[in-house]
Amino acid sequence: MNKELKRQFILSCAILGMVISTMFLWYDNFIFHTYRNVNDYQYCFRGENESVLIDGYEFYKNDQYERYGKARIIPVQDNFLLKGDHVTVTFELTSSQNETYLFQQEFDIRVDNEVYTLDEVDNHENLSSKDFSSFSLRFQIQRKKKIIYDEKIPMSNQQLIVYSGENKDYTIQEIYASPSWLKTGLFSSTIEGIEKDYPNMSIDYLYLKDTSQPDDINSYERFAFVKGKTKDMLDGLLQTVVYYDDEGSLLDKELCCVVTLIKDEEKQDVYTFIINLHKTTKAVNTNE
Amino acid sequence: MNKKDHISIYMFRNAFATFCIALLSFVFSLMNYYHCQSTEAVQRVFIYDIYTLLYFLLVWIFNYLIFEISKISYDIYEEKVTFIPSLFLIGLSIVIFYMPVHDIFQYDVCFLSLLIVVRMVKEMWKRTPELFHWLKKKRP
Repeated sequence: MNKELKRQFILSCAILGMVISTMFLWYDNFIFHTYRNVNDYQYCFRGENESVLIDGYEFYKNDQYERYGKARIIPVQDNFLLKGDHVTVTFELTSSQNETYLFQQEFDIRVDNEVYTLDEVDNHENLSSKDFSSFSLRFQIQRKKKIIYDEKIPMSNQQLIVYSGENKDYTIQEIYASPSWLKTGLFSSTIEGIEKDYPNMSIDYLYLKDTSQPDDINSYERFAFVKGKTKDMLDGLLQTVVYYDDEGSLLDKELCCVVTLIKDEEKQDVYTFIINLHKTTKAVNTNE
Repeated sequence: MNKKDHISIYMFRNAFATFCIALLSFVFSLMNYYHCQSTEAVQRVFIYDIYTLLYFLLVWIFNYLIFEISKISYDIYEEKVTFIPSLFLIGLSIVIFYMPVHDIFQYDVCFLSLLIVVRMVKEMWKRTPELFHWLKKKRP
């Protein structure tokens, strides 16, 4: 055998051995960061007329739930909603095959001009993104057993941006945001047994309000907060929805999360770190 | 053009071919997983996060080394080369799809085997044309 060829062969095999062992070592980390959970669909609707504003009416489906609702209803006109009113909200969804689905929710107003947030309800229609073709919302108010308001409000499908952030061991993904709305994300970790070491945790969502000092944590404003058991967080049970009511669009802000893993709250035995969020490529049908 | 220039061109060509194989494997795998377009899959490889990109580079180096080792092996056993290694590699690229490994490696091994087979057949055609005598047989 030619000595030069033999030398090349041994050298290549040695480097190959190192590359393969690195591939084995990095495999779990690669799978964790590359193949992420994705929602089947996620929609957020907004509509308004001169009397009422409905924001954040969402439809979503993931590997655990298919749900709708959670919208915030804000009376724009003074005394539009009075104590004791019975309100019926019916979201009308028409598919591209002209099938119509109705999603009705009812509630009573407890104080005058109440800002009401609809409940989140399980959806059994088994929809797909093809079913979201046209949409409107029928708003009915019953006062003293008489229907005093019955209007159809056109709803617009909000352009959603998906945010995520990660470091070597932790990711926060599937954060959906519109200019005025944000749905908190899913937390995951490569560290096994993290829920035993840190039984509780919290995630604060912050946006940068003072762009001149992005490195100073005091330049950030906290606008969402999720706290609970680490296991529930890892299982994706603690997602919540928040609204951004300040000036401008939330999508123009720099976002970050402060993650606090809590071993013992009384002894202040916690581990805190920051994860910067970035806009990611669209992984689901959010706005076809 | 001197010998060094040739070697540089060959290395660049091999690097490019193995890069394409790694990229195709990642793109197919990500398209399957996310049900997305190829452009989005390419974005996910290069700009989505650093961990995917680093693993992609690792797979590319792996492909390049395997291809180089196949070339060296061919040079060492040039006199004894037959179609058997090619048939083995084609068999491997079929069998790999029935093995419980991640689809990235299934695509990668399949494409890489095909590249090595193509290169091997080309070299055999050039260096040992007698292996192809059955192609040149005239009809009675």
